[in-house]
Amino acid sequence: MSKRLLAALEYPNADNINLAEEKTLRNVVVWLELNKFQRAKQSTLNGLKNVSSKDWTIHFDDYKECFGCPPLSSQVEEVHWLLGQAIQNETSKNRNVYLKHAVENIKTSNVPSVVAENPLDKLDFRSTEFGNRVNQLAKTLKIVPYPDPLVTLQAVRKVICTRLTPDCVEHPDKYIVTGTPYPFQDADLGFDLHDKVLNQAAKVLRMLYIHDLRDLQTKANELIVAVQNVTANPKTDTKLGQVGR
Amino acid sequence: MVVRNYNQELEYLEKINSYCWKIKKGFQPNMNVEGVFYVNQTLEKLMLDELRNACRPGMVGGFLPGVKQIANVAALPGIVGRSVGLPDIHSGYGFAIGNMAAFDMGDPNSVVSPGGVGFDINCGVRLLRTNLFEQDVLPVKEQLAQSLFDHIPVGVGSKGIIPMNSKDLEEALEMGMDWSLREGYIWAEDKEHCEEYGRMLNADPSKVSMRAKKRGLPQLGTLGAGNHYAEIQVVDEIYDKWAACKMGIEEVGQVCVMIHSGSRGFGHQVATDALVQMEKAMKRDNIETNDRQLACARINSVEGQDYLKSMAAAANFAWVNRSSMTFLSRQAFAKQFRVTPDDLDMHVIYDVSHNIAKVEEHIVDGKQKTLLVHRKGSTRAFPPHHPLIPVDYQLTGQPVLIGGTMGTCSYVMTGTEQGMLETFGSTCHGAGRALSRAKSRRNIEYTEVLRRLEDMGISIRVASPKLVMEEAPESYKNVTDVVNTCHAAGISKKAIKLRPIAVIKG
Amino acid sequence: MPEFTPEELALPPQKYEYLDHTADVQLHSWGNSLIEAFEQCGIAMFGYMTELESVEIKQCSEIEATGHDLESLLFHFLDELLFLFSCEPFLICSKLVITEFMTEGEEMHIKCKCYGEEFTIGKHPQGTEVKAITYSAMQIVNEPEQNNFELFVIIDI
Repeated sequence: MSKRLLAALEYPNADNINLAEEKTLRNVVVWLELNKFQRAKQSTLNGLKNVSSKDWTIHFDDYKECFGCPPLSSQVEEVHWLLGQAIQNETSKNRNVYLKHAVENIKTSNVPSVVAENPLDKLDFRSTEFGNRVNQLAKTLKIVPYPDPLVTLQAVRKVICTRLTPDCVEHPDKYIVTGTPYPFQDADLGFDLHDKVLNQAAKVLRMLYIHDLRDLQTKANELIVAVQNVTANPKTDTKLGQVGR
Repeated sequence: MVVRNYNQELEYLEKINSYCWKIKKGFQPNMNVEGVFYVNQTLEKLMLDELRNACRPGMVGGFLPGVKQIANVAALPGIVGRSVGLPDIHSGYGFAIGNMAAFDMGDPNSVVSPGGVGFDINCGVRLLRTNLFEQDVLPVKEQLAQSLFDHIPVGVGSKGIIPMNSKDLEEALEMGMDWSLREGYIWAEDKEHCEEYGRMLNADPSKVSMRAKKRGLPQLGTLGAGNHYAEIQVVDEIYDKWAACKMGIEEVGQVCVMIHSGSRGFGHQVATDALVQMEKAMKRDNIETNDRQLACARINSVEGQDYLKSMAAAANFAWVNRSSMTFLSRQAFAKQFRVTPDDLDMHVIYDVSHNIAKVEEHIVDGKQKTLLVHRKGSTRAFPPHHPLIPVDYQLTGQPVLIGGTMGTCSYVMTGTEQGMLETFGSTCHGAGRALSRAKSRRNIEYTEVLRRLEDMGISIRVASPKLVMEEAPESYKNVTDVVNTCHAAGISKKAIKLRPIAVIKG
Repeated sequence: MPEFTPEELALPPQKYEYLDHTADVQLHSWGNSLIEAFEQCGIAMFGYMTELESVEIKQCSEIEATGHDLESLLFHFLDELLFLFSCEPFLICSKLVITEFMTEGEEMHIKCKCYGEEFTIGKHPQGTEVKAITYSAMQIVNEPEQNNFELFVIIDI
């Protein structure tokens, strides 16, 4: 981590630094003071420059005090802290520059660079050829094509998914409802749009809506039954009352 | 109260068409809206005779004639539309039975009245179908009637056989049919085919007195007495093929089970408790009415809100009650035919309430309003495509179950758009009494009644022989008249006619 | 089973009847005192629910009722009796003896001993169920000078 901070601060040869080495650590501190902070008293600085001295630690403690650096478990950590301070100073000096880069970074990094492997994705959905093929498919399935081929494609999908699954083909009774259809043409719409065609369309919409409601209701009932499997325990006790004669 | 003679009274009544009369403002003091009542020729005569008798000097006590009661209701604060009398109307406590009144929830003066709901909160009818036909049932008719009688507790002092403690009751009051579902007494599809889906969500058991709960607990799952019954019926005529189809009724001769019951002593106690509270509230809030029996409270007052919450709990009680009896009926049939109820396709066609108050949206003078609709002896009848009715009936309209009286036919009708506009989606509920009970006891011999029923091929199991006389068809108005009037007036449409072949009564 | 004296077991003569009413029934009772009229009214109510001849006196329960006027006192008295029947002890009574009858002041008060037995289907014929007491057309005729004491109450059935 410290390597990164040093690299960011443009310390020469940051990648090869080993802060565990006492001499390297002391040199880093000196470099920081000379290039980044320029805060120390002359006497402290002189003491720090003397990297081989036995008293270096004492000077280092003085140096730390003028930053308010808290006592940490090792000098490496303390240097790390100092590096953090240096980074903070750098960024606040050139805030706008960094901000600009950050935002740009975010923008570009979020867009995944997907390699288009699915040839379907490469289709031009708006081309006439696409439209024609979709309509052909619709015709085979006996679906009336819609002016927008994408809508037709939706209809095609619906038919295939609900009627052409292997299970459905094998057991049609499970899926296809039999019985007399309700004569919805005669049914009351409930309101009048004053246009025969619109009324028909409204009726169809009503029927579809009712169909959806029925599905929803059936699902709700299934849910209730599932709960009943856990909770139900119906009992009667003829000793409680008297029945019959 | 103004005292006029009969002819003077008639000046306030106007016949609009052959099925409808208007009651003009001023018939009774302080009317906020007009009244209206639906009758045919026969029923019209009964209504006017009742009024004529009341105008005779020296008549005091008892209930006011139906037309007067409709008018008194029209004088209640906050009422909108019209005070409506259905064809089966007859005098009752404060409100007549067969009276619909709707109040604007947005008007701070609007009131709620327990008299407008009735003592038997959520007294209603449930119809079950089967895939059996008359010829399947005839050979074992007596045994089947006995089986039903052996499964469903009926009559005075009867106690339920579905084990419940007070905690169960609390839960049942709050959850309504969902409780029966949870415990496994009924099927998921039953809930789907029930008014309010078998549960009023605003129920609050804490607003119900201990007394009511004590009265209700032993009675849960019992049929009750009076005009309550369970009948095995056979489809006699189909008027609307597609509506019948949607209800699962394919052919004449198909066997059904009809249960007519309510919230028993529980509902009565709730109503009584509320009336006591409201009489005090009326003095405090300066609510004046034409009749002391029209006790009410502002909808937004504590008393009003408490009543609505406890009424909802009572409604839930009744739905659990009918559900319990559905369970017992299914058992009775299953035992008799040695198949499962599922195999017999014993599904609930629908379950309606005819004593209840509901918050509904309606169009009043071209604007949509939220109303508190009181239906006492009146059934909701919503038209096709109404969001509150089950999916299966979206195209046909809500089924309306009209129970006849002992030995007479019952009908199933459907709701119409016209009904929605004219009566806020309300229609009749049954036959309505014509003779008093005491008169019936004196004039009709019970052995005579039983013999006549036997002649018609109806097996009867009754807990109280005395009741047989009181409940004889002669004591009631003709249900066919009532139903035909509703049909002709366009407020609901006939779909099926049912004929009883066995009757279980308390 | 408690022991009852012959005096306690003796039933009073019937001083009540049932009057005409469209959907419900009106109880009409009378007596030589208001207390007797009240007692008879209670019996009349029980009499509608079953045949009183079938009811033996096997236990005695005491009830209390209050009211702010005579009408509400009668109402609550009958309501308490109905409650006695509808839940524990499910008592059907053939004899009522009012032991306290306070009609002075704001809070009127009744205490009553109810003699009967637990309602048993099979032993007691099922009559008509009483669902509630109503104030409708309630009349209390209290004329000590003419020795005229009558009660009219409509019960919902």
